Amino acid sequence: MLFNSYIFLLFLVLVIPTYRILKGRSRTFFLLACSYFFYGYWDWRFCSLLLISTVADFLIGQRLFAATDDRLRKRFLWLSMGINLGILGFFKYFNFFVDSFEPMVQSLGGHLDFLHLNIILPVGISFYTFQTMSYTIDIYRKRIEPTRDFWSFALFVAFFPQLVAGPIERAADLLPRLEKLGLPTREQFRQGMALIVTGMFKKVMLGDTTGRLVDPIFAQSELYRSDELLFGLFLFSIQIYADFSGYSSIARGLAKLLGVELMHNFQQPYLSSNITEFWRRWHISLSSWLKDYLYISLGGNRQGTFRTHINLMTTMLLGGLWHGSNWTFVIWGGLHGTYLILHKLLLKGAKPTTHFEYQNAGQLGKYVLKVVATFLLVLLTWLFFRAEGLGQALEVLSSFVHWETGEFSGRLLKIALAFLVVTMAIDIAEYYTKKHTFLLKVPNGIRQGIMVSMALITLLYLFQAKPLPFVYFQF
Amino acid sequence: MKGLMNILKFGITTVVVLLVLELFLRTTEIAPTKYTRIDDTLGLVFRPNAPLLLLNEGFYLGNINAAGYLGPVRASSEVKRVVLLGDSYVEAFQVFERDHFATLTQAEFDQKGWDIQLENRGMSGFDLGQMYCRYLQTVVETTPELTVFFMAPEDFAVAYQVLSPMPQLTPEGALRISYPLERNSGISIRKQLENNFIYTSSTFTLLSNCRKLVAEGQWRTILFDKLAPTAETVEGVPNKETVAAPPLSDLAIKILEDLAGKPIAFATLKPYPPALRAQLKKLNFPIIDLMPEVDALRKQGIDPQYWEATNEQGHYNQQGHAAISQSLVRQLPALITN
Repeated sequence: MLFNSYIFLLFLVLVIPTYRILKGRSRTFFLLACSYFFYGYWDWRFCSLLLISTVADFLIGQRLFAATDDRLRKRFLWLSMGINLGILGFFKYFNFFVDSFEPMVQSLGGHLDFLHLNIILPVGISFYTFQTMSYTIDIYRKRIEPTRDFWSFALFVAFFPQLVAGPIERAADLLPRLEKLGLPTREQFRQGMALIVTGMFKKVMLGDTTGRLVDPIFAQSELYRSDELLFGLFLFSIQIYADFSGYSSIARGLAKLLGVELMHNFQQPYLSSNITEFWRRWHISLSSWLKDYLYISLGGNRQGTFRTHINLMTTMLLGGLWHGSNWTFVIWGGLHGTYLILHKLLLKGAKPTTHFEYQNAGQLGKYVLKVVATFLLVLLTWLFFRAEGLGQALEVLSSFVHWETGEFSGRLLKIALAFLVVTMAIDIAEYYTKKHTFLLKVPNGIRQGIMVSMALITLLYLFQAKPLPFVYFQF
Repeated sequence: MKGLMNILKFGITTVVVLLVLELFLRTTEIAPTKYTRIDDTLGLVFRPNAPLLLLNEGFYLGNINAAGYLGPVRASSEVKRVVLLGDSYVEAFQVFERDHFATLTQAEFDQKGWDIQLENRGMSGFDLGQMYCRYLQTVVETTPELTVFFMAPEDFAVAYQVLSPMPQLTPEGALRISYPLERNSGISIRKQLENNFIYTSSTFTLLSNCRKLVAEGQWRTILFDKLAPTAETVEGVPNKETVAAPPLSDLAIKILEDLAGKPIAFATLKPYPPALRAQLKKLNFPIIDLMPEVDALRKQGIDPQYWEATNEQGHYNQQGHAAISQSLVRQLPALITN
């Protein structure tokens, strides 16, 4: 079920009031049933994977905690990793590895066609797999104790607001909240509504609309001129941000309506003045997961400069591969890894800037230049992220080198600027209020006027245009 | 008093934000204003100079020209003009103008130094009836060298009516054009309001699109998705794709007889059955056969009607247009010279 669909809005209209009527334990069972219905709406068979992950990690977590022998504890940890990564690897990467080894085997006279499987990728598998893995790893690291409440744990894995595209929550944060489900406060309800309205606007009016323009350009990039390809790439940078941050806002808003707080996932990343800051603002739940469970496990920055850089690059390459089974994602991760290493070298141990405070016009100018430079670096990586394959990415790059202008340059520039202005207007409001719920800072009456207009246009557009799935559903 | 102030603030803010969003919708062209309007004598016409960004099976970005048709305005009287009439296959709001078969053909003619100019007057939904009316109303007086009717066999059925005007047979069997809108004292106030106000606003066009979807009964699927009850057949205007191919009706035969002797050719958007070919030959209409080049493409394993972005079958894609252009370059000049 897509958040940006009328059927989901109807689902909410039923779920929220019913939840408010229920009391105590029945809330857990109700939300769990709703979450399985929400997930099973795509394909009910996917629910079995969710159940396997839930049961396995719940049982392994208990045994792991009870075990005192280090070797036995490690075995339980590897068992959990094996099950989770096994499911993820099978559904997401099996064909990728078969395809990758195919040329080598072919050169030896063999073939691997028979190994190629017709598999549908279960929606959101990368997200809930990482979430359940963090639970077991945290027990292993003795940061948390396993829960004895199976139903709350099952809800932790399947909680519908964040099940299919995050934020990837940690058990230490989310589990206690789900174990004591309550009604939302008045403030939570107001925040939730504001987040849902702005999130839906971002997703439908910025994410989906840009996506509709981007898709035909990348489906047949050979038909388009350099300026049109650049337009497509630029709009993709807006699409992926509006799509994913919009989704995250809706997810946080929905959870708030149920009295549950979820972590921030985006903090205006395109206003970052350097690449390190960008990664502290982009997909925060994944980057912090990778830092805590991969980068630090590899040794982090504790083993010298060279090893730190290797660890950083490994983390970014695997982070890239997490997004999808294609070498373009590995290159995307590699480029970001390179940027981060170069930035570390440039900083020479100094701390990177994390927030801009206006003092004078000169500083603002300098900050804007840095923001534009950071954005251009990120834009290049989006080419590899969006391209259908490496060949297409290189063709588009070649088209930028051998520049050829089409007949619509001015018009495309106008469209791109309009999208940029609206996206940045929301971001700047969030940046300076330091809140995604910036609308709540606006006086009554005016706030309702803004929210009603945004919701009205969003709902009208949604009614006459087929909803596009979230970009990150495929990951 | 405080409550009243809040209501006032709410009202003013709502209007202001809606105006800002209207500006956003227009600038980004994601919810375009209506690019057609209803004329009381011509029926459905394009709005001159309307900008267009359409995402159907493909991606179209362009403009209606100042004269109200597609492509550049052709004004020179020293060239041989060829008018292209047809439906959405000729309108082709799926490809950029530069990939349209008319543009490709024109480029070939220009390169060869031939003084032939093509005018694309295609319009979605047109069949023989509408093309006939449009030909008499707007094309004949401009005395083109040739007019090409791009038609699939089902377009000869004269079944699909795109508002006024309509060709009809009188009880005596004579052919006449009726103008229902004129008969009803012109366009209704509502239509005038739509033409001049509602359809020039993106927000109202969005609202109007939604109203149309509700009227067509599509709201069930939009609201309830796969839980929606099986859709009922919507009664109304028959879809011309579902209308049976010839034998030709009396009306169609009468129209063809009336057109006979004029500088008109028929281009085959789909293969014509032998009976239809025979009928056209009998009336001495030249037939431009577009199928050899299109079929050659299919034999190469290229589907000229497949759209990668939407994974749909539909109108001709860029390769299809290139094939049709080759076909026209091969066959058109001979018809004009003759």
